[in-house]
Amino acid sequence: MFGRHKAVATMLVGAAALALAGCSSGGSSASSSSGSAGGGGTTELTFWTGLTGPDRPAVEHIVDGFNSSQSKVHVTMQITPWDVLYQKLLPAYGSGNGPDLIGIDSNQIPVYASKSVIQPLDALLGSDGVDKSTLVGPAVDAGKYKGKIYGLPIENTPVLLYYNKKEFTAAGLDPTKPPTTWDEWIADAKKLTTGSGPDGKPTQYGLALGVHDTIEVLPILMWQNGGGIASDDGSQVLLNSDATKKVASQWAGLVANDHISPVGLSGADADKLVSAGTAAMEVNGPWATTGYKNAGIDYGLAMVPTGPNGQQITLGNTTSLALSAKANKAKTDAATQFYKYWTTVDSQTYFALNTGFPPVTSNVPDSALASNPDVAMFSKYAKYARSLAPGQPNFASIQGEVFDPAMEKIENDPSSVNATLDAAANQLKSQVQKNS
Amino acid sequence: MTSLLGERPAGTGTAAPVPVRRRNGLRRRQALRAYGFIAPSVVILGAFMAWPLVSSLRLSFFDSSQFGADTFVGLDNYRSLLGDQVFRGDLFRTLLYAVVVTPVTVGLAVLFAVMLNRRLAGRSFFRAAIFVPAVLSLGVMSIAWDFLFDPNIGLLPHWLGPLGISFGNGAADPHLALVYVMVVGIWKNVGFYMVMYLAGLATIPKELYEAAEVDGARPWQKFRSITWPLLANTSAFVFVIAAIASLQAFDQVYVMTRGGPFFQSETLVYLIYRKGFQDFQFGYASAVSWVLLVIVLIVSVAQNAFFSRRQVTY
Repeated sequence: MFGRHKAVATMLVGAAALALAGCSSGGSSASSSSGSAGGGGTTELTFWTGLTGPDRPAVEHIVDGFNSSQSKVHVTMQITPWDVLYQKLLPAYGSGNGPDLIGIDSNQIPVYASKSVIQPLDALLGSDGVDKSTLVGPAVDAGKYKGKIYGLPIENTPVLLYYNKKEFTAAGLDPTKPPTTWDEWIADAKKLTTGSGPDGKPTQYGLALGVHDTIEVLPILMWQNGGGIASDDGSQVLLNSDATKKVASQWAGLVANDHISPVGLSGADADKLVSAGTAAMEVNGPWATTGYKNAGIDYGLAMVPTGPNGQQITLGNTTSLALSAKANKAKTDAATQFYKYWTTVDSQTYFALNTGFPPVTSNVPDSALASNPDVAMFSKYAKYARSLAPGQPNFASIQGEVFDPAMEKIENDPSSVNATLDAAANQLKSQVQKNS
Repeated sequence: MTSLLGERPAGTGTAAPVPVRRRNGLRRRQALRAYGFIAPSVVILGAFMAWPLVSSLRLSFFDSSQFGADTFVGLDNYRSLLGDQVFRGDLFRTLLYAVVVTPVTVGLAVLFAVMLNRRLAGRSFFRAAIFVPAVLSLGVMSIAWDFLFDPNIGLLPHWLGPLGISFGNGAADPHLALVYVMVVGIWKNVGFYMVMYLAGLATIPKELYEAAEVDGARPWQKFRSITWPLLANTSAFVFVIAAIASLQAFDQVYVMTRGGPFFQSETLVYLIYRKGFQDFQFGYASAVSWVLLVIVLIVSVAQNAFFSRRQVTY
């Protein structure tokens, strides 16, 4: 009898212990495969990224292509959704289990560079590496932190103006002549804002302007008037400058009073409105093309219209490749080979045609992209792209806790522009860091 | 988060009179077996409740990003909480949410339970319809509600707009975002509490109502003097879990509004998530967690004290 009871008790405890052991080993096995640089054998590189969108198959294709093109380096890629990736990346590096390579939004590069878990990439651009002059300039600049390149572009695009050709025609506008200046843009947006639905809202909006959880648009407008969030070198907060205030007040007024766009849209909301034909224009990246085509939207693409300072400016969206600070010579060389393969004309042509993203290099001939006119457009304007807040380790809170809430507040109450931006700029002073 | 409704261990049972020596052996064996049975729970509760609780308390006194060494900062996290406007706003909204959502949810649950306790055509259908949200994923349902409320392409504004009912600017409306989040919270839980009350109603003896009818009691008098007092036990339980659930509102906030616009629908749990997992300020997030834990504790103890004095039996 006694023996059986003891056995039962032991079994129960054992089962619990097993269950726990199961949990913990499941958690760590993913990161324990850091691999080793075997002398003469294959160098193993772990690569974590969040490229889960429509671009994923093309990313996997290139990684597979690299692995089968040679036998010295093997890249093991792990793709997780972005939010999950960012939640576990820093703790992984903190515990010494971080991956060799990461593909992250360029805005995140300073977070990791400032904590010294990634290293400057001069080696990848050295004599055995990639010729820097073949890379798209702003995309390389996007990966800089304090003057050094910590991230090299694996995906890069400017955002452009999408416009619904059918709705242009219906409003008496020429669908072959998209707006090129703010004056034209605003006039068109007002003409395209039509109908009256419940609550006195239009049934069709001229523009879908995302202000939170979105690829930012308002900073482009601020840059076009010489304002912005902060200067690129981080020495100055520009959010409460007169130039910025003027833009915020003008566009918030257009949204709140002229109803050219619904108030307080998220990026996803804005995309939904364009897909539904409820909004006629939107500033967005190439990832939107598939959805709009599927929704039957006959869209045109154009450069973001120029503002008061007359300069061609748009926002760049870059995914940068970064290398663990712990990577030794063998791994650095392996990473160089990988990046070289990524930036070959063949890889870039394949990637561009299959994802809609323009090449990260400037040596892909236009003729190679001719079969996808959208890519050609995004490629054409890539040189005018600017990074949102280059070199800022506090980027996430600058955007999520200060800038976006301030813009939402102003859209809801345009008369609060001065007070809101002064308060926001005050908050930014402790968060914006010098980047030189 | 934490559930404070720990179950009492099962009664230790009284052993039959047996000779002392044998009894000791038996007791030892019984004790060993009992420990064996509770061991899995103890291990799991210890690893997933007690240890995180203690470690978050420790963290709340540190500056920690889960990267590199933590630095001890004493009460700094708690001090900066007091000066943080967003925290104060979130605290106010969390309490407002609880103060509105708890009684409304419980009130509706009682109402539905009493209504659906009668013989009624389609009773099972209505019971199921009200209960269904309790078994659905709140995250998924929040996506559906977000679509329903959408001022531009939503069905509710489309159907009810012509009747003069305004949905403002949907979940992006600074004055209404919290209201919508509350509506979804109420909708989600009311069915579950209704089932609790239906169970409670089944325990009330019919004779009491018959006697009351003989005395000429009206329906409202019967509810006030019989139904509600005899549901006190159920109410005590439902109010406690409803209050805790309200203080922990997160899912629909995350899906529908992300706490926006400009924090107008942000709750403390969302703040904990944002500070911890987006900004990597684990020390600060832990301090917020402990403030919330203390609030939950106070509310639960107060409710227990209140209801334990009003237990009624006839």
